[in-house]
Amino acid sequence: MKELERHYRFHLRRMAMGLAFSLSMGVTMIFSLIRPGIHVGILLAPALVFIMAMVVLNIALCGWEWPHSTAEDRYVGRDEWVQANVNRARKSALHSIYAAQVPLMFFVAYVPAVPTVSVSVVGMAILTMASGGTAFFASYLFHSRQHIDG
Amino acid sequence: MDEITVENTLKVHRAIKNLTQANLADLAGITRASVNAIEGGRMTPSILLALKLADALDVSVDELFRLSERKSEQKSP
Repeated sequence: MKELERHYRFHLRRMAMGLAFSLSMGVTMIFSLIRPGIHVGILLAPALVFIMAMVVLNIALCGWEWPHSTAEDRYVGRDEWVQANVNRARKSALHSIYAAQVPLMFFVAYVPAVPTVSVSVVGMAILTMASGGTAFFASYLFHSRQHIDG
Repeated sequence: MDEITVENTLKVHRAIKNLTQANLADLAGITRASVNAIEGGRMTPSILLALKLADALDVSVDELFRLSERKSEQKSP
C-alpha cells in the first residue's frame, strides 16, 4: 500500500500544477486586458497556450482514454477524504464563478483600453474559467492540508 | 438545540497497537490523509471505511465511533 501514498503525493502535485496554470492564466489575462492596443488575438493567444499546455500534460500523464482509469485514479479516486475534498472544491469553484460575474463584468466592460464586444466576451470567458479553476484547485489543496500526527 | 456529532477513539486504539497513522492507513487501504482527517474529527467515515478501520485495529466499530450530543449555548431571554 506504499503505492497509495506515492499516487496520493503525485495527485497533490498535479493539483498544485493545476492551480499554477489557472492562476497564471488569470493573471496573464488581466495584464492583457489592461495593456494598450488590445485585440482579441492578444487575449486568446496566452489563454490557448495555457489550455493546450494543460491538455498536453494531462494526455502525457493519463493517456487518451476518457474517463481516465490511470493508477492514480484507481488508487486515489476511491479514497473518501479525496472524494470529500473534490466535492468541496467543486462547490467552491461554483460559488466563486457566481460571485465573480459582477466584478468581472465591470472589469471587462470599463477597464480595457478598447472595450469592444469581442474583447469583453473573450476576456469574461477566460477570466471565468481562470477564477473557477483557481478556486477549485486552491480549495482542494487548502482542505487537503494534513494536521500534525500527535 | 443539541448538535449530534461523531466522536472517535482512533488515536487511542492506534496508540494501544503502537501504530503510526501511515501504518494504520496501510492496513485499512486508505491514504494517511484520511486517517489524519478522521482522527481530527474533520471527516466522518462511511460504514465501509469504519468497518475497515475497526478490522485493522481488531476492535468493534462501536468501540471506535460513538455519537455524542454537544449542547449549543442558549441565549437567556
